This record gives sequence, structure tokens and C-alpha cells, in this order.
Amino acid sequence: MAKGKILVVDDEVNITQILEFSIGAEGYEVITAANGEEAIDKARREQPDLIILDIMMPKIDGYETCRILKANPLTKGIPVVLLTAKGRDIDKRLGYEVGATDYIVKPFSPNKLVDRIHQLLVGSK
Amino acid sequence: MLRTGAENIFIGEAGAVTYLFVLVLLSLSCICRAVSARREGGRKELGALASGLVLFVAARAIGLCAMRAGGEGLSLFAAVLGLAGLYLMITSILSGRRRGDYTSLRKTVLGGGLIAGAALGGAALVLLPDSIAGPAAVATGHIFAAAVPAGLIAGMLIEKGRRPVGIGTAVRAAGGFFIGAVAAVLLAAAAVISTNAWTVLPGGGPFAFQLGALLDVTGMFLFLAWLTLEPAGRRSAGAAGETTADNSISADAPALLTPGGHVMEISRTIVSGGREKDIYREIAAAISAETGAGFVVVRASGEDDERLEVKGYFAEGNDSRSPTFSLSLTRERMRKYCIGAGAAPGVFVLDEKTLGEDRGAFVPSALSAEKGSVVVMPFREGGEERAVAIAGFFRDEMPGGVPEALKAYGVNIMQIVGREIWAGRTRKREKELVFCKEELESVNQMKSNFLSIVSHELRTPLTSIKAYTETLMDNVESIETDTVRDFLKVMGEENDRVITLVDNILNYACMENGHLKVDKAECDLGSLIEEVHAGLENRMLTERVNSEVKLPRTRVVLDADRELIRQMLHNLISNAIKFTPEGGRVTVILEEEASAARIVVQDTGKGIPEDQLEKIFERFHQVDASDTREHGGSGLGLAICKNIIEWHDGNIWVENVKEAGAKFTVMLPMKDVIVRHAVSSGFIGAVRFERERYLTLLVEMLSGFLQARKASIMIFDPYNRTLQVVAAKGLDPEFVQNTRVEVGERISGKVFAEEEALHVFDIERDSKVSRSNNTAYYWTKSFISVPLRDGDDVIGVLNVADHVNNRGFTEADREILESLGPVISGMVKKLDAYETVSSNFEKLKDAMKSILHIREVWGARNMLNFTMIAMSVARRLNLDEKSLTALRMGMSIYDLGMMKIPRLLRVKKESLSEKEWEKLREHPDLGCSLISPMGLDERIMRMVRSHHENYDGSGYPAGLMKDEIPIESRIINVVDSFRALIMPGPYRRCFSMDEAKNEIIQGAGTRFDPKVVGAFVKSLHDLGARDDRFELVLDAVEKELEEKEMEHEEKEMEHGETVAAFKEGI
Repeated sequence: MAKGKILVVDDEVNITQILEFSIGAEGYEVITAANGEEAIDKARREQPDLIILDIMMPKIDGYETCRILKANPLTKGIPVVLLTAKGRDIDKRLGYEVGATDYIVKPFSPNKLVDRIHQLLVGSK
Repeated sequence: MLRTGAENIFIGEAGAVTYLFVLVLLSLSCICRAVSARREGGRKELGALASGLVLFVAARAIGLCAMRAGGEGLSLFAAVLGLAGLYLMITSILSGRRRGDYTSLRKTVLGGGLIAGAALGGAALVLLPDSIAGPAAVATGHIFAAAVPAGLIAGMLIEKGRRPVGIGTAVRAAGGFFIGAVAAVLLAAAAVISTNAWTVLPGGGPFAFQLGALLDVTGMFLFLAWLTLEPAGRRSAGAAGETTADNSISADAPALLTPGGHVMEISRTIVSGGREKDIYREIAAAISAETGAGFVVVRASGEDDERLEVKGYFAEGNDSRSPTFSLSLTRERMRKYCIGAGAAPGVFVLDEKTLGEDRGAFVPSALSAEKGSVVVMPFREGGEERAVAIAGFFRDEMPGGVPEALKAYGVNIMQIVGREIWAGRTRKREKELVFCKEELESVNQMKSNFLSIVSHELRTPLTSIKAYTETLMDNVESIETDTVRDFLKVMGEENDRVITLVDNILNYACMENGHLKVDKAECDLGSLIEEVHAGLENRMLTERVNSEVKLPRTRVVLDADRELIRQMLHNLISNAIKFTPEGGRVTVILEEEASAARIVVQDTGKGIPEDQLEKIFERFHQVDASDTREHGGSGLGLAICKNIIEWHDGNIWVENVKEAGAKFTVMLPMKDVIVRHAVSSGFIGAVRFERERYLTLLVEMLSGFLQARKASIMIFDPYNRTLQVVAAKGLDPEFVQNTRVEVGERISGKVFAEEEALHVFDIERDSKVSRSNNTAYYWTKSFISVPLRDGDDVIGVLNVADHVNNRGFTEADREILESLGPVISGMVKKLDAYETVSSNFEKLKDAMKSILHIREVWGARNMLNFTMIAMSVARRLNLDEKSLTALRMGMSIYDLGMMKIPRLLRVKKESLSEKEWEKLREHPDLGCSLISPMGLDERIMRMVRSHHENYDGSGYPAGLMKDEIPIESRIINVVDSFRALIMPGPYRRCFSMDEAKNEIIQGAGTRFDPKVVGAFVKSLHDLGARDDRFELVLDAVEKELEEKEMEHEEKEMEHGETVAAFKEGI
């Protein structure tokens, strides 16, 4: 039995691949999405325990995706971690404003990300 | 009834004589005026005035005699004559008033008053009862006479109030008034005294009459003085009005008038910042007041305008509404009449005959019915006419003070013109500043875009690398080998991404700073394209993009930096892949042109937004810089491409293709140009490099224009008395460096010596040349050699050989080559003064590149065809040889300015905003400034500047009309409009040839000169113009080619037959 289900959203295949590997190695079930639309769809259907979301993506960006997720009662409760190259304070603030639970700046350490996931999931239970 | 009067009244003989003498003087002065009135053309008033005068004098004289002799009948007769004179005078007054001529009016009123006085006096003497007859008669006469000046003064004051008058005039007028007033008082006194004396004094009449007469005479004398003094200033020039254009007003004419009474006041107004409009008007009014001109126009021009605009106007009757002129006054038109005065202001008096049909440019339409000459005084600054004052139709004869007055106000005029120019410059500078600020802001915006894009572009691969490395490290024991391999592969790829990005940034920085090291070597473009394409094949597979590479059969070799060209190709092709959707196609085409290689990279993406077409080559520019952009990239790729291409003297542009996406075209000049080393000239280092680039461009221009594989410029060297090649394309380097051609030897030597072009269609079959003495052109099939002229001197020879299409050169080609002559000789000459060239070098390079570019955009074939049409029209209109040469050149370059207009504006004319239109309308001027360093004929410059002027004055930039537009420009306007209609534009339906022709015909008389349109339609017909899909085909050109071919075939046949016959004979 998996520890929990994590949705990883990034348009860079390399990133989703490595996250799938390292988070999966910790015993989580990992599902991936390559853009905002797919993410919203999967979040609604799969009801993951946590979403890791990139900001700069084609079509619907991470902020907008997060806003939509938070507006939907079905996905409202799922914690969202923004994972992005945009590291300025204003970007972070914007992230928290749209309802993100945490904000991790790229380049990131997969270990620390997994630690953060642990904390968040334990904290929410 | 008077009985005793005659016996009683005693007038001393002397008194009587004096009285008569004064009368004669008075009438003489009046006759003088009458003569001057005749000159002004007022014949009717003249008649009235003269007869009035004669009657007046006669009445006075007869009246006097009657008094002496006591003839009742005579007195009555005098009275009747006096009244008749009065009537005539009044007629004259009325007609003078209609004409608005207040001066003659005043004088006539005066004369009339005096006559009336005499007449009434005489009548009273005869008709009234004895007791009151004498005194009443005298009193009536004199009072009437005295009342006249008073009325006049009032009249003048009214008149003064109506128009501003200079101080000088005022002083003169005041003097006149003073004398007039004294005269009036004396006359009145005479009346009073004589009346009283008649009744009161002992001895009555005679004494009183004597006293009255004395005063009378004095008063009259003073009036006479007033009459002669007051208008003197205006009269002095005498016959000046009849001098011709090249005659200034003679300096010895008395100038009684103090010129420029108002100059200081106006100066103060200018300095204190009055409105330009008012000041100009004030100047015009002051000049009019001072010179007595019927109308005054002050015109001035802006810095770049050819036309002098009406700035201030004043006409008699206080009409200062802006006048209309049937023709505009251009500098050129003015120079026609006003030349030779140099920098100092000169005055030109133009009469109707001299002005002829240009009168409408000098005289307002409202006054066109009036007759008379005008005085024109141009004011120049730096040799350019900046302003002009025109005064015309003088009330009196033209006074001598006119030039002085105009000159004096010239100070004001130039002051205010200067101020306007200054204000114009300030406005321009403000505009530039605003533009600069916007530029800066957008650069700033671009910079922050760049930073965020680059940080994203850098972070993304770095993120992957970091994440993969860490994961590998943590799981180093447990991880499977295959996974490790996968991970390392990703890391490697991401690492490459970082390297490419950093490379790009560094490269770009180098290029921008000019530190790029360009290693030029022979470089096969075709194989390079294949190489780059192969390198990108994997990517195309993963992105599911099809591709096609079209290469020519022959090798296309450039002298270029292989690595840079590879980078450029890589950037372009990967850019195309990036923007092509799945299943789309990227096409790469390489073609060889006469002097350049053309590389086309076309994708099937969604194209580039119209407003971005110009910008995508700017650094850091990204069509989509938002967070949601689908495509990565630093925004440097295309900027780097452009830089690399420019380092190779090439050109790149992009357009959207209707059915497919974006199409990038790169033109790289073929570097098979050899420049003879300037051994003796002492050019070193960069200067020498630049000189070589310069000559290279010249030869490229030559070969590009003529589509020739080989081209050379030979210049006569006066020291060795030989011709040597200064630059050549497609020839053996050895030959270029070492060959000297003796005058009269070989083809070039002969062309140089005979000063005549040599055009060989096919060298194999032409009797004019034999191959043996033309080693340089050993492989040549067809060539043209023309003498290179500088004015009347021949300074060298231009050669072109081998058309790229392997066809022979036509007559039209030869014409084009000859038209290039002056340009090339001008530029070669400039090369001699190299130091000055180097500062202009960039500009020249720009101009030459634009010339090549415009040919590329139009297509060489079209350029030839439209030039043919224009030439045919010109010949039909009987233009002289010089104009034809100029037109030929003009046709190739008139639209150069367009190349400097953002492409967006060029392609869609329908939805342009006013501001954009304004920008577009700048292109003739832009073209002019672009070619200005080439030192072309003024005629060609004018052609370029005014090719968008319409016949009805609705064109731009100057709004010239009809004959003001050079005939060559009128021709170009028609041909260019036709070209624009039939050439396919990406966003406009193109017309069929007949539709286009009808459109042109409809514009005859409005946009186009009907004469030109007529010739144009005939020319189209004669040249056998027809539609061939997108290209205009001229049968005339095709036929020429065919005929030549035929001719040669026939010759060959004959030759074959002869040989056969010969053989048979054996």
C-alpha cells in the first residue's frame, strides 16, 4: 500500500521523470501531467494527496492552474507545492495568494522535496 | 446786379500776373500727376482730371479777366466752366474711390474744392444783388476752398486708421498736413479779411481784394508745395516698373523714403515672442505701407521644403485673408527669375511679360485681373532661399525706396524664419527625445524579459542536472545500470543545453562589441546545409516534423567563416523546427544568383504576428515572452543570425507566406570578387580593409544589377597610360592583380579609346571580336563593355560577362549598364579621397546594400521590364538624352527609401493609422538621404524625392502639382503605381494587367499627368506587355532575345552551307 498519491505537473519531461523516480523510491504513488489542463483533469479524477506544480507552462500557467484547483470543491483540499524557477519574493507571494501551501525554487534538491512532502502529508493527517 | 465791381476793383498788374502764374504752376503740377496716373493705367480718371484742370484754369483766368473788364457774360461763362470742371473732378473722385486709390482721391478733392470755390464765387458775383454781391462772392469762394483741406485732413485720418503706417510715412504725412493746414488757415483768413475789407475799409473793394488775393496766392502756393512734396518719395523711381527681370532698380533713383520705419518694433515683437502668423502679417502690412505696394506677400520655407509657403499677406483694402495662388512657388521656380544675386539680397523687378505663365506663383489669384509688375526679393541662407518678399502693383510709379524697405524688413523676415526653423528643430528634437525615451523603455523591458527568460532557460537544465545528480548519488548502490545510463543521458543533454545558451550569449556579446573573429575561408554552402540538417534530424524525428532540403546541382561556394555560417544555419533551421507543429514541414532551399547565394528557410507554423516582423531580429526579442510561452529560447538566436549575416555583408528578412508559416530569406554575397591591392596608395589596416569592402560592394552591385557572373571595373591610370582592373568578380586573381591593358588594345582598351560601348551577344559568332586576344573572357559567351564616364571624360571601362541564365545580354541590359556608369564613376572618384569616404562609408554601404535589396525584392526581371516601360514612355514624350539617362538610373533607385520603412507598413496600406501614413510618406525623403552620399545628379535626387507627387497636388512630400513635378517623376509615378498594382503583395489582391491599366487611366488628370498616361498606355501596347501569372512579360524584350538567337542560327546555317559547298567543291 502506497504512502500516498502525488501528482507531479511539469512541461519538462526530464523533471517529471526524475521526480517520479525519487518520490516513487520513497514509496509514494506518482502520477504526472505535462500541462495545466491535464493537471486539473487528473487531480479531479485521481484525487491525489498532494500536487507538485510548475509555474511556467504553456497554455494555463501554474498560478492559474492552482487558482482553478482551489476554486473546485473536489480539489480544494489538496495541498499544492509550487516548484518553479521564478524565485523572486513577488513570485512567492503571488503563489501563496493563489492558495499554494509551499513554494520550492528550482534548482531544487529531490531529497529536500521528499522531506517536505513527508512533513506536509503527516501534518495534514 | 453788380455794376460798379469792374470799374471799382483794381488789381495791380503785378498781382494779376502773379495770380495767373500760380494758376499755371498749379495746373502744371496737376498735369504731372495726370501723367503719372496714365502710367498706372487709370485712363478714365486721367481724362476727367485733365479736362477738369483745363476748365478750372480757364474758369479762373476768365473770371479774373471778367473782373477786370467787367463783362457780365464773361463772369457767367467762367462760372459755367468752373461748374463743368467740378463735375469732371467729381467723376474722377468717384472712380478713384472705387479703385481704392486714396492719394489721387485726396488731390482731386482738393482741386475740385478750388474750382468749386472759383465757380461759386464767380456765380455769386454775377447773380447776387449789388449790396452783398462782392463780399458774399469772395467769401463763398474762399470759404469753400478753405473747407476743402479740413475735409481732406479728416479723410486722411480715417484712411490712416484703416491701415498701419510706418513712422517715416507718418512724419511725412504730418509735414504735409502741417503745410496743408497753414494753407487752409491762410485761405480762410483771406476770405475773412477780403469780406470785411470790402465793407469796412475805406476805398472798399480794391484794397480788400488785393489783400485777399495776396493771401489767396500764398495759400495756394503752400498747397502746391504740399502737392509736390507729399508724393515725391513714391514717384522717384519713374520708369522702374518697366524694367525687366534681370534689372535691379537703378541705385541713383532718388530715395526720399526712410526705409524700415517699423523694423525695430517688429524686431521687439519677435524677440518678445509674438505669434509667427501675426508677425508675418505685420511685416507684410508695414512693407505695403512703406512702399505703397498694392499687395505684399512674405513667403518662407521650412528646412527641407522645396516650396516657399505663404506666411504673411497684405493687400490694399485691408485684405489679409490668406490668398490663393494658382501655382506654388518653389525654390526652383524662383531661381528661374532671381539668379545671380549671390548671398546678398538682390531685388528683381518682374513685369508681366517676364513672368509669363508663372505669374500665378507670384500674384494672388484674386488679383490676377490686375495689371502691373512685381518686385521680388529673395533672402538666402547658406545658398538656399529661405524666404522671399514680394511686393506688387504700386499705386504710384514704383518708388526708389522699395529695395531698401524690403531689405530693411529682410532682417525681420530672417529673424522670424530663423525662429520658426528653430522651433521646428526643437519640435523634431522633442519627437526624437520621446522616441528615444520609448526606445529606452522598450530596451529596458527587453532587458528584464531577457533576464527572466535567460534565468528560466538556465535554471531549467540546471535543475534537471542537479536533481539527476543528487538522485544518482543517493541511490548509487541500488540503482540499475539502465536507469543510470538514462539519467546520464538526460544530464548530458541538459548540459549541452546550457552550453549552447552560454555560447549564444557570449557570441552575441562579441558580435555586438565588434570583437568577433571572422575566419574567412572557402566554404561550400550546400554541404554545410546538409550537415546542419543532419545534425537536427533527431530532433525533427522526436518532434514529428518533416523536412526537405533543395540544393542546386552546382556547388555554391562562399568566402565565409564556416563556423559562423553553421551557427547561423543551425539557429535558423532549429528555429523553424521549433515553430512547426507536429506533422508540419521545414523546407530549406539554396539557390545561386549572380552575385549572391540565396538561402530560404520556410516552416509551416502559424507565422509571425505582423507587428513583430521587424522586431524578431532584435536581441532578446521574443514573440511570446509570457509565462505560458510554448517555446523556449533566449531570444538571441535570430539576432545572432542577423549579426553573422551582416558580418558577411549579407541580408536577412522574413515574411509570412499565406498558406504556410514564416519564410526567412538570407542573401549572402558570393565572395569571388577580387580587389586589386592598392600598393601605392598607402592605405593600411582597417582603412585598406574598408576600401576593399567598398570596391567589392561596387562590383557586386554591378554584377547583381546585370545578373552577370563576371564583372569588372577598370580605371585608366594616367601614370602608366594603361587601364587596370581595380575590382573584379569571377575573374582569375592573377589576371586582376597583374594585367594592364594598353589603350586601344583588347576589348577594354578599344572601348576606352573609342569611347563607345561594345555589346556582344555571342562571342562565338561575332565578327567584332576574336577570342584569341581575350584570354580573360575565355569562357565568356556574351558580354558588354561600356566606357565609364565622369562628365565628359572617360575614366575607365565597365565590363560584365556571362549572364546567370546563360542567355545573351540584351539592349536593355546595355542601357542599364550605361546608366550605372555615372554612379560608379562618382563612387570611384570618392574613393580617391578616401579619408572623406571612410566617414561616409557606412552610409554608402547602406545605400548600395539597399540597391541590391530592392532588386531582390522586385525581382531582376521585373526591374528590367518596368525600366523598359518608363524609358519607352520617356522617349515617346521626347525627353532629351540627359533625362533619359537620369530616368534609367532613377528607375532603379527611386523606391530605395521604402527599404528603410518597417516592412509592416510596406505591405498593408489599407489599415494604416495617420501616424503610420506619416511614416510611410517619409520614404521619398528617406530615399534621398540614403543616396545622398553617392553624389548623384541633382536631377536624380529630385526624381527620387518627388516620385509620389500627384498631378493635382495631392501627393507627397511637398504637394507639388502639374509642371512643378519633374517630368521623370511623373513618369515614375505612373509606372510605379502600375507596378504596385500588378505585383503580388502578401495581403493585397493583385490586379490583372488590364485592371491595373484601367486604374491608371482613371487616374489621368488627378493623380497622373494625362500626357504621361497616354504615352504609358501606348508604350504598354507597343512593348507587347502581357500577364504571365505573377510576372509582367514584355514581348519586346523576349523578341529581342529570340531575334538575336535566330540571327545567329541563320549565320551558322550560312556558314555551314558555305563549308559544305566548299567541301563539295573539293
